[in-house]
Amino acid sequence: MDLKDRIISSYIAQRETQIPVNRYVHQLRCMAIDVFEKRGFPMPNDEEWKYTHLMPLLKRDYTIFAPQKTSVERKDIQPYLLDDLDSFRLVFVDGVYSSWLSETTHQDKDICVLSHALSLKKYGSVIENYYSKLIPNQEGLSALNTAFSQDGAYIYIPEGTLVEKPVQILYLSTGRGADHTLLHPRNLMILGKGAHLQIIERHHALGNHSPLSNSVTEIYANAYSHLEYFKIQNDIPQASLIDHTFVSQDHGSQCSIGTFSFGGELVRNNLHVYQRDQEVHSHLNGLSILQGESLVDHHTLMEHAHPNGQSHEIYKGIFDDKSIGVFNGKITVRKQAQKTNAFQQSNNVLLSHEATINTKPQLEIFADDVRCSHGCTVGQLNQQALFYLRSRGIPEKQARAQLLFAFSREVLEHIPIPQLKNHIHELIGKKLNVHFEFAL
Amino acid sequence: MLNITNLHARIEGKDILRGINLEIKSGEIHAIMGPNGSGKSTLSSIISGKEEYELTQGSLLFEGEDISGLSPEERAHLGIFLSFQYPVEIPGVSVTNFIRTAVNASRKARNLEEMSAAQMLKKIREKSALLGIDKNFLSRSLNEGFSGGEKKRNEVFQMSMLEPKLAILDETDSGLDIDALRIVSEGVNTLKSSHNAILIITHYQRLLKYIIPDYVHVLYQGKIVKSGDRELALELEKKGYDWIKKEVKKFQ
Repeated sequence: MDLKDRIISSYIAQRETQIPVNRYVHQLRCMAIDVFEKRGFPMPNDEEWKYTHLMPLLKRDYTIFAPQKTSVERKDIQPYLLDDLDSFRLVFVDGVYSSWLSETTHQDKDICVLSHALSLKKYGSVIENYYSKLIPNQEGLSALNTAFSQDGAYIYIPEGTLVEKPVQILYLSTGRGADHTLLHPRNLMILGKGAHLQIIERHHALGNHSPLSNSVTEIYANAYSHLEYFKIQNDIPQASLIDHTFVSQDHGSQCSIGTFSFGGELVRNNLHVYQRDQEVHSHLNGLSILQGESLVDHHTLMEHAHPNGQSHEIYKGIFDDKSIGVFNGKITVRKQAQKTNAFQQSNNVLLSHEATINTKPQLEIFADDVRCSHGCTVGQLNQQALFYLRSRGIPEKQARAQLLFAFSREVLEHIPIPQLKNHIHELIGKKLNVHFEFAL
Repeated sequence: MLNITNLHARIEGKDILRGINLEIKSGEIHAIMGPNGSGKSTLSSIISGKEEYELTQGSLLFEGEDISGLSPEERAHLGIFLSFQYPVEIPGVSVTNFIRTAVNASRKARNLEEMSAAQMLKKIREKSALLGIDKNFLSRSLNEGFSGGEKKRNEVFQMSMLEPKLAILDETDSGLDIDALRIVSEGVNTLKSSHNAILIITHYQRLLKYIIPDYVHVLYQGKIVKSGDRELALELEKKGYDWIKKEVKKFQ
């Protein structure tokens, strides 16, 4: 039996015996498993998956339902959280919420576990209004998530509320009892009018197994709200992540999403930002620094549907060894989205003859009074600049790192949380194997 | 200090230097002049260790040591400095932080203690005053958006901070107006001592009005075809390079 068949049969066998959910969610799941049955996993002949092949991953013998109730010590998770940052925390171990590793609140906002929201009556209307509304109808992977997802982050920030500290979301997998686990993290975030929220999300495998996380996040940014969302993708070399993030932005809202990809076997980011009203600002940034045989694929879809929207996308990539980068940046400007200002840029450095980057801007413009610009570059490290630094006595390794750091800088400028910025600088230093003496 | 004997070099199969002989002693200022494409910048790159060139013959000694196999940074640590004709822009690194890293990298290589931040600031203040550089300049990104003159001034500022034994000034006068030229030259002259040496690479003689060379060499077709004192520079200014070319032709 192939993976798809095994997934469907175990859904039938086990899914229904699990935690009760409300009728609406139950229906969604039934529909979702139908969609998955019809569509399955994306195949290489799918244009959207031309350079990122899932087949090798799908041949593995996944445990469909991860063994539950694994315990993890606080010290085990410390390296993956910003410990010096005062924050709310939502920690999930092998797909299950860990209340004792988490720090949540229900005071003037809800920052808690999604399964809680899905099963309790008082959340019923929110769930029916928002849950699963943004995901495309006929897409197999997000449907698979809807069918299987259990725990995840549920964040509801009421109108005018400023969340005083960032929220850290950590998905861990332990691999205990299974070499290959399939996980379906699911987040739902709703920012009320004028609300402000900062999120740091991370997926990490402890130990030596190879998990495949098929994650879905839906975000609603209501009028004048402000979201800053950072994803740290620095997993072990055999862990894979397929992330679907859907953002719907209302009038005057601002969303900024930064993705920092430094590791993992295969990472696919499907980021879909939809501007559903006027005067919306969206910032999408990404930095990939890859070695070994890692593959990171950024598929962004920036959808301008109303006038005076702005979007700003910068993706930078540094590829060494046999690593592979993919960037597909689609911008759609609908007919009524006049005065749109959309900018997109993808810059890449190849450090090895065996590294690859596939980069493709894709602009679909139906309005006539807009400003859209895009550019992509692929190059090598500037040898003259390297010589310049070395001729001043700076050792080659450090000089190279410094130039790569300078190359990445534009993306790093957009990190407003100092602890996070330091942490990412540290990760880059480790990745490039240098200690930076420059004040950054 | 610097001893170059019968040096031949090529890049991508093309011979650029065809037998250079040059000896520079402590306390001396040498100028190398020559028409475009004669190999002037190649010579400065080769002394500083640019790796694209292949040395096919001859020797390159610095303080008696063969440096032909050393990396650019190792040569910098020995005290060789190249002021670039086209300094590279490095966004995101301030002039101050860059120079601090460079100074300490060399100190580390020489087994000296790193310079403290306070010492460093004092020295930066002293040297920048000497070159008429203001504070804002020092916190800007290295060469990014600098005018031609600012770039050259920044090169000489780095030189003053690194205190090299041998400083090679590659077309330092290009892009400088008269005032900047004077300030930069005065800076260079202040740094000059009996313990160091300067090699000026230039197309025109105007810089040599301010920094007086002990020797002037004319480089043509990868060879030093004529040497003299500063009078030679004045003669070149008057007559251009054509008479040199003719003379060389006669010999051939």
